[in-house]
Amino acid sequence: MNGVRTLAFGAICLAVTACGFGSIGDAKTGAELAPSLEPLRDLSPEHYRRLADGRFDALSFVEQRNFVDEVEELVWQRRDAWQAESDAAIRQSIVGFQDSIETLEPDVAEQQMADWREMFLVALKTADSTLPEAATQDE
Amino acid sequence: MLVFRSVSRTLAVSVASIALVACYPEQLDIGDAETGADLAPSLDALRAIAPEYHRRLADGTFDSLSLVEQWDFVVEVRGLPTKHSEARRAETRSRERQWTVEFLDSIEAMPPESAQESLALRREMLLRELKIQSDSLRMENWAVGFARSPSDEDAPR
Repeated sequence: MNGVRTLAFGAICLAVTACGFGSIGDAKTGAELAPSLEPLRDLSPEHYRRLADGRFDALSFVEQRNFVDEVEELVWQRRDAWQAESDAAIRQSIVGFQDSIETLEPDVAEQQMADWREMFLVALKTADSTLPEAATQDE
Repeated sequence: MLVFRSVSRTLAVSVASIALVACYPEQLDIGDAETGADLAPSLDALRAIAPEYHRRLADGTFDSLSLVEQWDFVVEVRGLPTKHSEARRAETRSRERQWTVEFLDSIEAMPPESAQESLALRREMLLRELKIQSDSLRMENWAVGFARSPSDEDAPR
């Protein structure tokens, strides 16, 4: 249950934070918006500079569209890399847990095993929501 | 227990990240399901896109696996093409490019003032997209930091 509570906490925090998601305030240009894009500065200093120094604002609309697509792709790459790292770390921890299971009290081991399995089910359920069911049925 | 706690947070963040991306945090609800076989009937998308994986859940094969094998199964399922996979992103971009061309064609027929106004609105939408990407990164950075930081229980005494 500990894991599920943590999971719920994570989801709630994200939901709360999401309330101000995407607000650009009074910004009318990329240069005005730049100061609020700190995470982007860490991800790609070059893209950030082009926003902050006004080069983005001087682009044509099509070029701006391409710029935004480039940023989006970088964000996805970062997300994928982090996901792979996270998956590997979890796997290593499961192996560690399995190796040490004999040293735990039987009821503790059983409870932890149940927690793990419950989390896997949550992960499966969440993954299911990201699958393109409708598109597949159309085909 | 501390290792478990730390890992559970990592997993929580991992799953929550997917939920964030999908914008469907309510999908975390597994009801009363305690096994893969219990859960299988609610996984309609998996049944449609990867029937073999769904069968292994429904017939109890998944439940008989070791924990590590179950995790590998979960990772494989998550590796299936998603709503946000590269091909779909490329498709979305192609559609956006088409809209952009149509939009630029349409403003040529507008009075200059309306055209400027319309263009300004579109540029504002691009700024919003950038901010959404940045906010998304901010949350994920926070989530990664949370997963990696030692909890109070982990802190040296």
